Amino acid sequence: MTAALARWSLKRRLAIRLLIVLTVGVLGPSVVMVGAALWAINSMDDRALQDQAGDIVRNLDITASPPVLRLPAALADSYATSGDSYLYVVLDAAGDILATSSPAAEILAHVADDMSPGVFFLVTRPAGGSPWYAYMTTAGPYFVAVAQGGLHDDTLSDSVMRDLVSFSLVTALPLLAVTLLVTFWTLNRAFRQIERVAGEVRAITPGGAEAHLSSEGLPSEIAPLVAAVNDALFRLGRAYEVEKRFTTDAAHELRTPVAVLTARIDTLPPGATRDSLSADAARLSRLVSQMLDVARLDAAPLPMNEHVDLVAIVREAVAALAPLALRDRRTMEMRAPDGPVIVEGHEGALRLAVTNLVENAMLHTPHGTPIDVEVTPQPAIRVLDRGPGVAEAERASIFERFQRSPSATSSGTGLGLAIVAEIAARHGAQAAVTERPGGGAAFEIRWPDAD
Amino acid sequence: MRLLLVEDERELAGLLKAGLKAAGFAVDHVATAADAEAALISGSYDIAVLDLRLPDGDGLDLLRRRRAAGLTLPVLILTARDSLSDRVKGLEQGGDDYVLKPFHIDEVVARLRALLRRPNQALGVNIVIGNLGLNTMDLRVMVADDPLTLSRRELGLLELFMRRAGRVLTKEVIEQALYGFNEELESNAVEVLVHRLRRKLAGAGATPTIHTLRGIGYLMDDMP
Repeated sequence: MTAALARWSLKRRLAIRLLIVLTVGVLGPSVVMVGAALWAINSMDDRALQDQAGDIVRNLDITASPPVLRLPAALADSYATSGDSYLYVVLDAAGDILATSSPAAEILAHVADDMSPGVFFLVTRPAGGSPWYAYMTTAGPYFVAVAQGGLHDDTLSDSVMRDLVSFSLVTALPLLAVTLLVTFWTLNRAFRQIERVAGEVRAITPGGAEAHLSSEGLPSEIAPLVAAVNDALFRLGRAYEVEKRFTTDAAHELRTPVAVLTARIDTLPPGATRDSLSADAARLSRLVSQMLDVARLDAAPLPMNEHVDLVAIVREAVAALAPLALRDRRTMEMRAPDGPVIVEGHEGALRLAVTNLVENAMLHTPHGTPIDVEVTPQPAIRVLDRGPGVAEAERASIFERFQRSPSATSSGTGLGLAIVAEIAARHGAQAAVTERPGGGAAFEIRWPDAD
Repeated sequence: MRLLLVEDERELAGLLKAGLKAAGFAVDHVATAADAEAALISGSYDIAVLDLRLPDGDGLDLLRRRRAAGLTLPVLILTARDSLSDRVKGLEQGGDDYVLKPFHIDEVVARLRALLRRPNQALGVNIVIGNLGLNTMDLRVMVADDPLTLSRRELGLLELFMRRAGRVLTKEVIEQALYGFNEELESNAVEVLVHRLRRKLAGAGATPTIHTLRGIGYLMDDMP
């Protein structure tokens, strides 16, 4: 099968093949029937001529010399009134005419001279028109030739042909139509089930480990495919579960010692040592959290099927960090449209991205400087600071893992912005940093224009 | 105050127990879900601290089971932060508070005290922040030793701020807490109310201040 044919739809393939099968199946027998009919017509003509000749022979008295033809009145009348449609002639061995139906029969006699008894032959009419069909037989030492014409000619077989062809079409066309309708109806019903399964497949989210396609109502030819897909889904789901359990276990195992460390530092007497140990523990804690975030993002694709209001989640994330900002004597402000700004995606991931951007600003700008957050209908999220900004050469690499600005303080992990970039990319958005007019950095997660 | 501590990490439990005892709680410690369930059924605690990950089961399942059986005592949940899941959010909406690991003991104590001040407690409690005090039963407000008179709405707002001191209250939260469902609301009603309360507190010499975070919300704290 050629590649082009292979790409044709099942319906198109079936339609063309059924058309061929039905054409051959309906028209083929018709052709045979026409042939048979024509043969039957011919043999009818032959028998009629033999009968006609028999009548003449029966009524020919060959005991007399010369023989005498005594036709019954009705038969003689038929010949007389046939307008030369029926002819006969009786000849002797020398070819001399002994009896004839009409003067026109002389041509018959002339042609019959060259024929042997028992054959059928055609005699051309001198006046034109379709020829006579003729036959010669013997009666004792004499010869009897008969002919008839103008009745069972080609027009008859033509009309028989036409009738048969139109009859074939009359039966074939509805048959073809019904066959195609039944075929398409059957296929459509089967395809509706396939379409339903396709819908189930489309609805599978990355986290949907327990996804399972139902094979109910499917044609048995498709069922093995669905079963195979279900097997694959099951294996993927199990692999996803293993990854998830690993990161959950890792989270617990890594955080517990940090929690013990933090709690133990809290039992120390207040002072510079406790403060610096506390800061170290906080940085370690942040590193552990962000390593786990990275691991979780790498382990499995996020389900991205939530309608997330950016205004709400940014306000939530900023509100959670605001007490820390106030402790550092900062002002914080958020500008957003009155209504919601909805994007399709993963709420927890987007909240984490905003949290990381604000934490990044708090870590890398001096205490007392303001941090502003904007949500625009673009949609876009912007975190604006009044810190030293990001040098142009570092603006791309700053979003890579462990690529920290040389000017950055020691408190960063080098992972926060990489997580932001990863989450933005998962949402079809882009993370970038530019210079803020009037000084400082403008970090942004921007969705493409909605056109 | 009798407190049930459910934590399977021996060292962390020891440090927590010491810190909570120092803060005035009578602490009973158990390390498994089964022991925790038995202790909760005995029913003689005022509050519980529950680690979600226990060797013989999930803390959240245990809590759900006990809640369904009528457990009412406040529960503070200890959880390892899972930024990408909505589990933490679920807890947040569930009414009980949670603390992320790792945590400072001070933070745990502060959250426990806040939980014990919840209005479902039959006895009125005094909430004190700096030189500002509020009795949640008779709604008397004291600045240092002087009473301060506030309107009904101002009192409601002050209680909201003092119960969630150090945390941001968004405008939506304040609107939902102070105004009826069908009440016609001027768009700046909350701002006007906060402004009036802030002026009255300052006028009376209260040390806690209400910070405005434009576009985000308000926060009360008592930082020098």
